[in-house]
Amino acid sequence: MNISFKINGKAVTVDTDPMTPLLWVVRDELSLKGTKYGCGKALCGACSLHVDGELYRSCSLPVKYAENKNVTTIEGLSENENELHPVQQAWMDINVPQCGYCQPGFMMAAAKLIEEIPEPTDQDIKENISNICRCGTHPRIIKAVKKAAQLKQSQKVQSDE
Amino acid sequence: MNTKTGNTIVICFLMLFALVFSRPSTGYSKRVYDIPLVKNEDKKEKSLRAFQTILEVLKDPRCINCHPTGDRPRQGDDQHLHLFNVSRGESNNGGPVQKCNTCHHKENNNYSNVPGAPHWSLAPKSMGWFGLTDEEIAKRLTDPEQNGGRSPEDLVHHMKHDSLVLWGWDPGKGRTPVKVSFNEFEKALDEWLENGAHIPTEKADN
Amino acid sequence: MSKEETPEKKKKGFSRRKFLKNTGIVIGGGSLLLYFGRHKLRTFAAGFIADMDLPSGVSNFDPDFWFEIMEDNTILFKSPKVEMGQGIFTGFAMLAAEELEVAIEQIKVVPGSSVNSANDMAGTGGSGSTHSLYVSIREVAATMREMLRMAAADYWKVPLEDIRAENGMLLKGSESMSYADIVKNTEQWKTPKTPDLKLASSFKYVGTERKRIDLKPKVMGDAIFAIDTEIPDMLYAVVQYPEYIGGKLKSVDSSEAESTNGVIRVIREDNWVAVVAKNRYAAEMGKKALKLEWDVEKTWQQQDIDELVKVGNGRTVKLQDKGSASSVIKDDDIEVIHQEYRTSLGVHAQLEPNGVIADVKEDKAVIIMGTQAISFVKRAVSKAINMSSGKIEIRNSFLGGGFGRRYFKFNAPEAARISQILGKPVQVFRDRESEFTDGYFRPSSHHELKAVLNDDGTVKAISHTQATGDMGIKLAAGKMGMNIMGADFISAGHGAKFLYDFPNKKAYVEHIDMPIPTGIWRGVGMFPNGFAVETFIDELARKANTDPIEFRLKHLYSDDPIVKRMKNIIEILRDRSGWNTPAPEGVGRGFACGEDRKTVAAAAVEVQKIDGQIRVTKVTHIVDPGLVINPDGVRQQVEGCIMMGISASMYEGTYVKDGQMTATNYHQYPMASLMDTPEIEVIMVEGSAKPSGVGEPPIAPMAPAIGNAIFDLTGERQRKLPFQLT
Repeated sequence: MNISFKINGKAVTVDTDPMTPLLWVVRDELSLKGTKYGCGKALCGACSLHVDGELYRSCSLPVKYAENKNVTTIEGLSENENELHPVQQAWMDINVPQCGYCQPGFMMAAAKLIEEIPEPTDQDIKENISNICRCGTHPRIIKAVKKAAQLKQSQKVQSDE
Repeated sequence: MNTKTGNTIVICFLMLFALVFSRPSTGYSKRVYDIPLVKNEDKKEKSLRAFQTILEVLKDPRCINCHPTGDRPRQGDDQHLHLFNVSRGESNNGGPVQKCNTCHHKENNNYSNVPGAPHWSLAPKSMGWFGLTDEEIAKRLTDPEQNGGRSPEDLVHHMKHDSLVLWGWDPGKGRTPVKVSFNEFEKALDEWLENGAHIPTEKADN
Repeated sequence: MSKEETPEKKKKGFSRRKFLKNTGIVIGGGSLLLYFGRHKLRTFAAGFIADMDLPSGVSNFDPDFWFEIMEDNTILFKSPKVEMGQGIFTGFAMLAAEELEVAIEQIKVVPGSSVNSANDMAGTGGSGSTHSLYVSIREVAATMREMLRMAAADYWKVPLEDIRAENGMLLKGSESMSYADIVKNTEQWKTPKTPDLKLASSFKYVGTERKRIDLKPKVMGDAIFAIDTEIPDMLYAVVQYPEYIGGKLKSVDSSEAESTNGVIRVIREDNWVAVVAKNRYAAEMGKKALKLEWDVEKTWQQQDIDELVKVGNGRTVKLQDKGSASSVIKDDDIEVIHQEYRTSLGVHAQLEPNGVIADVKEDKAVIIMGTQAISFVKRAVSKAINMSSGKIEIRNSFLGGGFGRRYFKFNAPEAARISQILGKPVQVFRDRESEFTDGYFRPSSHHELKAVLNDDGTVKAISHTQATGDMGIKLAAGKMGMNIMGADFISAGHGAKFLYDFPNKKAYVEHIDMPIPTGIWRGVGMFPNGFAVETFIDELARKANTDPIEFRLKHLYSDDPIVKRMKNIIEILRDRSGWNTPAPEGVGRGFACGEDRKTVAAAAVEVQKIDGQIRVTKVTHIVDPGLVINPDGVRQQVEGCIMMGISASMYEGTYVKDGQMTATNYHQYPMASLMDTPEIEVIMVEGSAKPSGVGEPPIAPMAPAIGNAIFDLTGERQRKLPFQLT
């Protein structure tokens, strides 16, 4: 079955079983490898991405639900390499990743979090992001989300001026 | 009084009682209702007995897990708090970042085995039942102030036809369906309604 | 502490370096084999005699690595050690830049493959990468710099002294050319004697805060892990392994699997079944539709495992025997303080599952994967497809976490076999269920500790016996090594001995043959042993009515350099963590320390009950790993050990039920989340001029420090991992 949607701003059509998890369509049909497989059961969050601005765990999202929608993956989070999304900039500033495998999922969750909670406390971050990291980057993730929120605020102030 | 006969009578009575009221346990302590067992039951009694069956369904983990009285749903037959710190949120569909739909969709997912049904969400707080007594659940269920303005007829229609309610009997691989069969449930709903939609009340209220 | 200012001793045989011409100049370091190349078994035997004082679980290595100057004047460094998050690429780049006289940004580190580099028998692990190559990398880099200078001197026809190497440029007065330019202009290369290395005092990069060199790709989502590799015409397969402990495949009904949309073929081999499909979704759905029957000789239960893994049931090796502990500690003596401790089976749970892309042709096989041990993979694949290892190339990638999981049971042999049967390239990655139930596990352990105290509350005699499954000795020394040594003291024995200056002390390891494959897990023996020993020390301190830190300091007085370093960090930690200030109401405090592979670490932990649940709220951690190459790299490793320590001690365990493992995915294996993140302070001390490991040793104090803090808060002693919290 043909399913059309936009991914990172680009229109695509895939011919696939509509129940195929968006994760595998994104990774193996569209060759965007930043979205990771971790558990296949929506438990770890490594496959997190956005569809129309909402956060999804794509291993549990059949591709049919993306039809005619806008999908954003880690590759499309920043406008370009020189103008990083506040989350990616903060992740750079705090030197967050270790193995790096879970980080795209965390960053996608973080990007949604700072949209919804512009000035998050540690507790807000702890309560609202439940992804799994094994390397133990948790303390840096919390710092980076707060930093990202600040960067976003200051960008907003700049653009308002 | 002959002690032996007395014992026998008591035992028989208990057996009868057990036959009528035994349902698979949901882990709740069962309340015993003071309903006389006579041949010619009146309508109220019929209705109340039917409601017991309905209660069994309401208290089944497949149903009550997402009817928390607080803000956190439960999971599994052991009814542990839902993983990932899942919370009710402003619209009963999850927190501001991780919503029910982050993982759950309109149908059970045979790949991820994440359960799903249309409008997958928590029942509103006013419809929270977890940890309440049967009487409290019954009161909340039937009180239009709390149940979204539903009459008993509306309730019966909702419980017979709502896709999220029906999911309880088709919860996907690895999950125990509601232990009362859907036929039995439907029958109980009809009996309950036809006989006056009576609900159990606390003794003190009588 | 001051660093020693002694030049590094030169290693013999370096002049036998190989020279190869490729795109530009390539200098190889193949001669390292000559100075580390003792035969494996002799190495073990030597260590055995020397009081088991081995630096790491696997101490035999002969790594090759290459530097290659590219046309754009960047330098490609093919690393024999793989990047699995520990930051080794960054550390290596810093070391190389130091002697190459280039900016760190000019060096591009990539994982070596089995044909162009990385003939590394030890693999990447044991916290030994920096320590083992600290001198070698700089020697090769310095040699290369000298060759470039010599070539430049010839080119400009001036004496060597007139040529300077700076920032990737060769300078003669005001004239300059890049390294790449000189490579283009040089036909004949001269070989220098191994140059003197820079003194630590003149290091430009070592000791400075550096961001990871793999940071940007990992933030942008374009770092390539094995699972991200694609080759044309690649099919996808998922393998079903035995579903029961010791299960033997009895029958396969694959009809439903074969009719699953997208499934191409079902392959049954030996003791596994693979579903091959045109995409991963179809392969997994096909696997779910398999109906398999298994012959199971014994249906194992957790109780069987607990009864098996028990002191007294295994083959014993003595690790330490000082004084006359045996004659002081008499079992029937009421003076003897006796406690037992247990740890559960554990899972690595690294986020990227194991997997392989295999392309097996008639006379060549390419395996793309993320592995900690290329040489083991090569051997296993060679055997599986009956192809000489010379025709097999193993390409390594970034690893989505290691923690010991990628030493064995990597499923490369299966993937190679599937590709061979299909005659097509195939991607075979484990699903998470297979990773949880058919990987290998941190073995469970049982510990017996006994002690007798003197009247003044000091320790008169102490003993520790640990019983546990294999932690890697079969891998390192094979069956033969196992027979020689009896027990897995090398891996399992980490942390079993007593560093403290107790007059009478002894330690044993008992090897138990478990029915479940077990192996290396971050810290190997250090994690369970550290828990048992340091909890017991805390119990003794309480018995002696002495502050737990003072109690330890009382027993650290000898001139042994490690003892001195341990004493030093404990004193610093006591002062920095506020240990001697009164704890606020509702706060429990605990302390523990540990030494592993010459790195000493200690932690002071605070716990509180929040919403009815005990949580670690503050960790002050101190580590002395000797010379610190990259402080932020060390800090990341310590933070990782803190979080993994919290996770493993508070939550993690998998158990055996009806012949199967209870944890099949993350929901059945609770781990620390952001909710569990405490306030963290990391303190670093450089107590030696040489670097030792930081990947694992910092985890040593975590479990016992948390357990001791819980005791302080609740009065309930934690003698089991994970903790039994009500």
